[in-house]
Parts: sequence; C-alpha cells; structure tokens
Amino acid sequence: MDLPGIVQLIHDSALSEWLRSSLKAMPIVEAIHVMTAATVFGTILVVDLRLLGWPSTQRSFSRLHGELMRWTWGAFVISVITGVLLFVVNSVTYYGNTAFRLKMLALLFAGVNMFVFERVTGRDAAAWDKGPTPSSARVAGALSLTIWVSVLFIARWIGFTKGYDFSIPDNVNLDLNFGQ
Amino acid sequence: MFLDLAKALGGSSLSIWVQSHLWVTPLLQSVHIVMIGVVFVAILMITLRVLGKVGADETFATVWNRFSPWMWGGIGVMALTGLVLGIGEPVREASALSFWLKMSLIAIGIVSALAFGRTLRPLAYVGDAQFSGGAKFVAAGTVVLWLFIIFLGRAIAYDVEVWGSLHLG
Amino acid sequence: MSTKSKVASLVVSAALVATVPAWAHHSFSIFDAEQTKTFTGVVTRVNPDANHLQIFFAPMNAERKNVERNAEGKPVVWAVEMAGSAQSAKDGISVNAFPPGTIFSVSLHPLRNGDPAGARAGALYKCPEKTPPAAGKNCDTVTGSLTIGGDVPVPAATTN
Repeated sequence: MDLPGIVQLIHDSALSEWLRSSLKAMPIVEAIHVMTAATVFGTILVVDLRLLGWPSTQRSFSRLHGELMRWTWGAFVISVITGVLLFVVNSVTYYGNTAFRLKMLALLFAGVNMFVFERVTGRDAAAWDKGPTPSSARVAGALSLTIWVSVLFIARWIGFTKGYDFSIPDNVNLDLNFGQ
Repeated sequence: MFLDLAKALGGSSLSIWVQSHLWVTPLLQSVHIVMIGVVFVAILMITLRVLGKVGADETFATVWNRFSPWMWGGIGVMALTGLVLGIGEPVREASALSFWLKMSLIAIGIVSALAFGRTLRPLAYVGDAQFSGGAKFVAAGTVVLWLFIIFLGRAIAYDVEVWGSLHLG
Repeated sequence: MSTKSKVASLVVSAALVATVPAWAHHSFSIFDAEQTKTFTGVVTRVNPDANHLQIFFAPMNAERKNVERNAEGKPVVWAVEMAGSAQSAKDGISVNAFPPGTIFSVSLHPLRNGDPAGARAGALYKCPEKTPPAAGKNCDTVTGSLTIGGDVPVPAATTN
C-alpha cells in the first residue's frame, strides 16, 4: 500500500474517530505536547549554551549533559506519543501540509546533528569537560539551537496553514449533470 | 463588564493592526512557545536543585543565579507577546474561563517565585543549603502549577469543550 | 549536502511557507458578520480540525444541475468553517456525515479579505443522496432533507 493509502487508513481508524469526537481528548493531548516540547527544547537549550560557553564553561559538561539528557529523552518520548496522536486525529490534512513536512525534516536534522555530536564531536568531551569547548562542539551547539528554535516556529506555523486546502481530491467527481 | 471592555478593545487600532497583519499572531505565538521552554525549564532546574536531583555539585546560589534571570526575562517576554496576542483577539480571551484561571495562576506563580527567591537566597549563601521537606514540597508544587498554566494556555482555544457551560461567552 | 547547507535550504523553505496566507487559526473577527451568503453545494472534502472543522464544497449553479465553474472550466470551491471537530460531531457534523458528493445548503459570513470561505451561520441542510433542489432553491425545500446543527433557517435570499 502506498503512503497516502496508509494515511487514509489512519484517518479512518477507530482511534482517529474517537479523538475527533471527544470534547476533552485534544485539548489535553495538545497541552501535554506543548509541555513536553517545551521541556525538550529548554533542556537542550541549557546543554547548547554550555557548549557555546555562555555564560561560562566552568560546569562539568559530562555531568550537566548526563543530568539533563534523561529529562530531555523522557519528555521527548511523551512528546512523540502525543505528536502521533495529533497526527492520527487529522492525518490526511497533516500529510498534505507543507509546514508539517518541514517540521519532520527539521526533526530529522536535529537527530542527525545530535547523532554526529554523540558519535564524533563529543567523543573527546572528557578533554574539555571543564575548559573552553572546541569549535566543533560550539558549531554543534549553535546548530542544535538553530534547528530546535526552527522546529518550534515551524510547528506553530502548522496550525495556521493546515486548513483551507481548496484542492479537489482526485476521487471526487463533480461532473454531475442532474436531470439530463 | 470585561466582555464590553474586550469588545471596545477589539475595535481599537492596535487590535485591528494585529488582526489584519496575518503574520503577527503566528510569530508572537512562536516566540511565546519558545519562552515557555525557557521559563519552564529554568523553574524545573531550580526546583530539581532544591530536590537535589541536579546540580548537587554546585551551591544553590549558583543554580539560582544562573537560571532565575532566564525565568524573569522569559516571563517578561511572555507578558509582552501575550499582551499583544490578547489585544489581537480580546473577546476570545475575555470569554474564556481558561484565560482568567491562567492569569490567576500566573499571579500566584510570580508571587511565589518572588517569595521563594527572597527567603531561600540568603540561606543558599551559607554553603550547601539543606532544604526542609516543606520547601521541597512547595518547589515541586511550583512545577505542577506552571504545568497547569501551560495547559490553560492551550485550553483557551477549547474553552467550550473543556468547561462547557462555565465558558463565559 | 553538508549539514550547514541543509539548514540553509530548510530556512529558505521555511521562508517560502511563510508566504502562505495564514488565517486558518484565529478568533472569528476575520469574518464579516454583517454579510451572509447562502450556498447549495457539493461536498469535496471535510477537514475535521480539532479547533475549526471545515467543509469544502463546490457551489451549484442557479439551475442546480451542475457545479459552478470558473473561466478555465474548473469547479469553484468554497469552505465553510465552524466549531471544532468534537463540538461539531455532537451536532451531527462529521467526516462520515458529509462524504464527498453530499449535496447540502449552508449560510455563512464570508471572510473580510474576499477569499472563498466563511463562518457557518445557522443550520446545515442535507439533501437526500443525488437529489438537488429545484432551480434557485436550497436543500431545506427538498422532501426528505435533514436539518443538522440547529434550526436556524437558510435565508430566503440566496446568492447563487
């Protein structure tokens, strides 16, 4: 089955139907998504600023990183779960939304940046645990900061662009000719 | 009374400017959301230090001095963006119970943060501050309070759904 | 492509998205409550948005024999927007109740900026399947039609 077919299947699912018709479900799911996304962003911001050496590099990087990452990941998991529910409730509309696709792309970049940092740039982190960070680590921090701010801005943009798609779906026939 | 005021505000030139420049609302909302991350995590970090879950290698004063300016700065930016957003659609805000609850809880949150800073800061300079069970409880309560504030912010768009007949419109 | 240029292209794409008209999320002040337009149309799509459910439809011509078309022969499409999907579902308005092809009548307060959309005003009238109203009439006059989401009548003066 192709991707639009799967998206339509999700749209027609019982979970989607239930979320659409429950008065309280979406406000709660959306609020939890905001809380956890804010926590993901905020904790990453603390690490990024430490990488950039702002305000200082006195704090042990490994300790700060270790303490914060479990909060980042915990919040991220809940954010993904609520995000999936947000997609399920109106999958066809989100799938066709450019801002939504850009957000997924931005999240992918964030993941790649993080992976590169964990596997390459940050491997010698012990060497600069309490001193000035090397430029590669500063670049990783600046990139991460830029990407995550973009994710939040693009995410908010979805809400303003997801409606008003005037295109007529292919399977809708408007050659009616009633009474002829 | 508030609704009449809101209707009058909705016809003001600033309100009409926000309404007719369609990029203003999404831009301000995005800044507002970025600031939720800044403020909430600043509060979370201070609270977790009180609970001894992070930064136990640093004094409380160090943690407070690092994060409280972010908290206050973020709250300032949110007050500003929130004000302009509210001016853009005053009737929607004034008729939402969530909006009034949110404002009340923010007032409590700010007063408690001020009181918190005032009572705990001198204590922190003594060295490794030990916090009483009561202080830890209040600190954890503050995080829950701000989570409620975030929920109410989102619930403004769903006031009828969340509150039913308690909606003020 | 380097990570940097990927980010650059992302920023450019984001700037392109920023030019899309942004009025899907709002209070209702962007609609002109002084004006009411009434349509009988054929559903093309329903967007069951949690904040504002939207029904997209092709308005029918005055004879109610076919849909209106523009100079290029493409069907004209309008959107009517209302409360969120859950509120609307309580009124009986949902994706399942308004599948593509459904003929219905609705009044709306149009957008101030002239785009082909508006906020729902009053009830929706659903014609029986494949049964349009007589020329110049709306679904409320068709035997077997359903009144959905209130009992406010469609204004007599129709715009098409």
